[in-house]
Amino acid sequence: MMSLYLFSLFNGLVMGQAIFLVAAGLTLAFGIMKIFNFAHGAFFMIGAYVAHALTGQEAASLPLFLGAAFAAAIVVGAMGVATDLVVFRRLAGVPTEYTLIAAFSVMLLASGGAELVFGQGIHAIYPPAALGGLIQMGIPISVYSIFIVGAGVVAFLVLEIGLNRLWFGKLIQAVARDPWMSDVAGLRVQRIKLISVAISFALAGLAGGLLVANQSLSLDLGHSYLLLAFCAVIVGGLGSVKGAFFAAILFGLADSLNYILLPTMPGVAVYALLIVLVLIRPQGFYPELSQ
Amino acid sequence: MGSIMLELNGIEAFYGQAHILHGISLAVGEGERVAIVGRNGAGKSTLLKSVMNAGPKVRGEIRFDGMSLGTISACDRTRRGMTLVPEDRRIFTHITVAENIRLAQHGAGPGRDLPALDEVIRAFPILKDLTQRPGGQLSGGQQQILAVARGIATRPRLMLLDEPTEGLAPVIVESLAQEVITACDRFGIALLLAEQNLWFARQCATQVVIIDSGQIVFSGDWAAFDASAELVERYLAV
Repeated sequence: MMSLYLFSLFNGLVMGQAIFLVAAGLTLAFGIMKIFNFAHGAFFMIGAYVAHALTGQEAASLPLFLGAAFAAAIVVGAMGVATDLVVFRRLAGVPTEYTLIAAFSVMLLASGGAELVFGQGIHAIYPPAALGGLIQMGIPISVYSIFIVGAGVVAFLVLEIGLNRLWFGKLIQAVARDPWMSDVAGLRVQRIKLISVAISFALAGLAGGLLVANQSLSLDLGHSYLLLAFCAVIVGGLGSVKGAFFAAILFGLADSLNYILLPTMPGVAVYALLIVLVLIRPQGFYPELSQ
Repeated sequence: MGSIMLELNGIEAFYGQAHILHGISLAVGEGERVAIVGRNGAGKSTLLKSVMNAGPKVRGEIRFDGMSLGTISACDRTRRGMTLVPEDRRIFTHITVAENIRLAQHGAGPGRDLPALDEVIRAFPILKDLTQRPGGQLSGGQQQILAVARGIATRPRLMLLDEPTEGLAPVIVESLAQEVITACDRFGIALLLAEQNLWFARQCATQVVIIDSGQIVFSGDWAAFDASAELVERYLAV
């Protein structure tokens, strides 16, 4: 019984890090553009397809697997640049309803495009041999799940340090917090936004490439994570990477414990948690960027 | 006054449907200091923001160094040697005082002879022990001084200074006047100051312009200003 809970807790942690990998780019996009990028899940799915196209069903080696994930990040990041230039930048001054609709149509376009390019088939994907085994730590734990937790933590640290310690990160935050003053102070606001959007999309692509193994890859891949990632971004405080990180873990744990505590009602814990947390702290854990 | 640096010809400014400024024309010479006074809502801030192209929709001609600015962005105006110190300060709260100054200098663009941080801090001693403090942990007064210091730090040729005394303690207002004059002289900065505090305006500026309902109703030096007591009564009395 104990090991069941341990197993569930660990699974929750893995799920949480997977959610965070998707939520990281989402919250960054909100912080910078002040829009909810509905298309994020579709670009996550495209990232997974790109990585799969490069590695096949099972990557021959760990470096190839990682290389494919980074290639997916670059491809999807480039799509982000195009999306910003063609869509988001033009909507900077208009009410948010329009940008929501625009993001939704970008999602439809991205999903449709992916269907045309990659087809409707469902692919079973496996992690490379180096991440394929199980290890015993009281409970059997797959090496791949440890890898996901590590990837989530590394992504979190890189973003936190990048945004709070690097000069360019501080400029990104300046633009996110006060675009008017940034412009008046002479910062190239459009360029900094463009780079931020590219990073946000690249994160979606990277998450797709890293999470694709142990999944069945289909056009619906984005949906399962996107909803939980949205929850994490809302509860964490819109625009806050740190908030999304901790909220993602909470939602991962809630979803995982749900399966053993309330097996007949899958998914209910996530929504209950969302409602409770939003009622207690509507502004989120770290609300600094959400005005 | 030296050669004309900033020249406004028939400026009309709008916020949406609201027509705020009506046919404003004025000139600021090289290194000259001009105060714009007037009641709340007279259009002082809108005038400064119009010069900067930072908000209102502007018609009419703005020339800087003899060149018409047209629709050049605020960012590029800053890079050409203007700086706007907004009335609401707009300090970046997530970075330190030193970084706020560095950010402004970064924004000023390459190829400028910028003062070192030490030199900027020496000009505004109140910031001396605060350089490593995040902008969000400063008092309102400290933020105001930092906003002015941030403007000076870019060594602009023209500083647009919007109501710097608002909410400041009288003793700080006094020292700020001295610091602004000293810094402007030292770095050769012309000043266009929007201000309600007549004492401060008189300290800082040699020329004064009164605006009311978006129109210039007086323009001259302080002697002419003092000679027209009824103007002050009509346009400035609360």
